[in-house]
Amino acid sequence: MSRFSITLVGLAIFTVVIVLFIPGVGDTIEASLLRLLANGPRGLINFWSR
Amino acid sequence: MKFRTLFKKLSISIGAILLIFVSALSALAVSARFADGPSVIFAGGPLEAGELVTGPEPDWGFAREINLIELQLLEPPRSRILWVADYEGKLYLNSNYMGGLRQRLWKKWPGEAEKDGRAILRIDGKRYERQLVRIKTGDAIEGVTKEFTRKYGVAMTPEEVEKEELWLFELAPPRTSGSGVIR
Repeated sequence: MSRFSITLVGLAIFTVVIVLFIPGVGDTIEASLLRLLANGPRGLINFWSR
Repeated sequence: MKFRTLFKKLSISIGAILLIFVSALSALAVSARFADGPSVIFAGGPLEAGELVTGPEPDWGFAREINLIELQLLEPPRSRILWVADYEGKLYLNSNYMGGLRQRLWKKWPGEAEKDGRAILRIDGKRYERQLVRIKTGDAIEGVTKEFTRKYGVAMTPEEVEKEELWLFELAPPRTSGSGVIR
């Protein structure tokens, strides 16, 4: 396995761990996605600029 | 040469961002499946917590003040968050954007509920056994669509029900037969 592939796999695992085990991260991602789906990029910007 | 290096770096950065995005969403989707109830976006596992209310039909008037409920089908045992409307003492669910791309890619539960309507409703921390009955015709449609429109501020019409772009389900009392009923 090349060093590049290992880095990618590591990045994916790191993301999964952060999302699952750091409180609030998953909720924030879902809330952002919901705003994006409901109101487009403007909804996302409004959500983050509160 | 410089342009090639820049292009390579840009591709790697975009790829890494996409990888993070996909990994995060996959983690959320998988973890929701094993949770007691749904997350905001992803379907969840079976509804297990909360007192299971049995006996005579409750007065559903309190649902007027509740915007979101959790609903789990018995088959497949997955749960999701839905809107609810109370009309003439009965509870109703809706599913918009039916018949389009969104239904094919995302909305599986209405079809599943039509096949097997046995469900568990969790509302205000209590669970109720229900039978989903799809409503296609009848006097209730106008009143139910009006109530959804009033409650959520999103226009719903009987014409949409007729065109099957909007599906309505009554949350009827449970029955012994397993298959969904269309009326």
